[in-house]
Amino acid sequence: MLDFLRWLISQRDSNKNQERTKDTAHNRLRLVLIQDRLDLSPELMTEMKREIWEVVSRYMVVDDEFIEFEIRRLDELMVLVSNIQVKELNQLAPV
Amino acid sequence: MTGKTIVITSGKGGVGKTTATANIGTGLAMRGHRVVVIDTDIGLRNLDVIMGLENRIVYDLVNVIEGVCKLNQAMIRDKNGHELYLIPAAQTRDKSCVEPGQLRELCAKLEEEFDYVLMDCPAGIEQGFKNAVAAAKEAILVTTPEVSSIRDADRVIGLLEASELHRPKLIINRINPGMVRDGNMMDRRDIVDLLAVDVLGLVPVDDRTITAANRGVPVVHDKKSAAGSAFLRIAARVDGDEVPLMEVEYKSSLMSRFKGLVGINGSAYSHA
Repeated sequence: MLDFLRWLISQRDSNKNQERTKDTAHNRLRLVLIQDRLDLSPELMTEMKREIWEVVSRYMVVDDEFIEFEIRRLDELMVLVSNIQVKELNQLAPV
Repeated sequence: MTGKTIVITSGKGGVGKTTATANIGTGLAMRGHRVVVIDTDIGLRNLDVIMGLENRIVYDLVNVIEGVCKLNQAMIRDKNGHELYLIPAAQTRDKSCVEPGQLRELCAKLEEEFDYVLMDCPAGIEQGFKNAVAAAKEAILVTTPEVSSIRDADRVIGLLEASELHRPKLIINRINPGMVRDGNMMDRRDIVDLLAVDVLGLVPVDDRTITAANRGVPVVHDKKSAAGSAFLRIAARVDGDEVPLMEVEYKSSLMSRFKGLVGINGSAYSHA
């Protein structure tokens, strides 16, 4: 009988400590859907990359190659990460 | 008469499109409407078995489209005396033998004679989906409260929008009230938060959906069953009635109440 009570109590405690998996599912899905909805084709990605490079190169002399250019997950957010190597300040820059 | 053509779709397979089509169609017919349900899943027909009409098939959708038979020769009347007809899919052909324009034309013709034209859409987003969507004026989306099904539903919402089918209505199928209570299944709010669509109905998981399918009598005939009454309310909403959503509730049995007292999850539930 004592064993039975102990078992009951252990069952209750294990339930209390259980993860609410629906929250995990909800959070994972939220990010997956953002990613899915972006729906950027590789062509559009290349186009965006080119335009960003053009804008930056109006102000600075930059390397032709991006060090980094990708959309990725940062904790709870989806972020566009872009790193371009700066060579020297452009003489023609307006500032 | 100008009827409404509605496609029932989901993206992911096995979430209950055919069951939903059979039950909404039957529910609308029980309300006194003239209804035709079309199985557009060519090559993988199933609406006939769910409705218990598989032994009456002579002609099918492809026969109608190819002009092999007259439209009314391919329409099988439901067993229960309602104004409910089924146009079955062809079983030995593939999706490419129907074009969107042909299905649209057929539905336009049916709309003159029926109040509701319901299309059971194949799973996936390929040709069969495109055909059905092109012919529809409204869309009903079926999902289960699972990650894969919800993700595919989101994808389909995007594709429906692109085909000018705005604001599809969502049916959340196979809700397990015990799991929702325990926080282990996403509920209506979670899913609406993700998909941002209006909810047409909530259907609990119910053994009687399966026994009804075994018999070939849609569960909506069993008004006392949890799933049957849920589908009846859905049919009423499709019909324009303002029926408040009823949350699928956990109803504890004596045993699970005892288990609840001592803190063990009960597994018995029913629907309110």
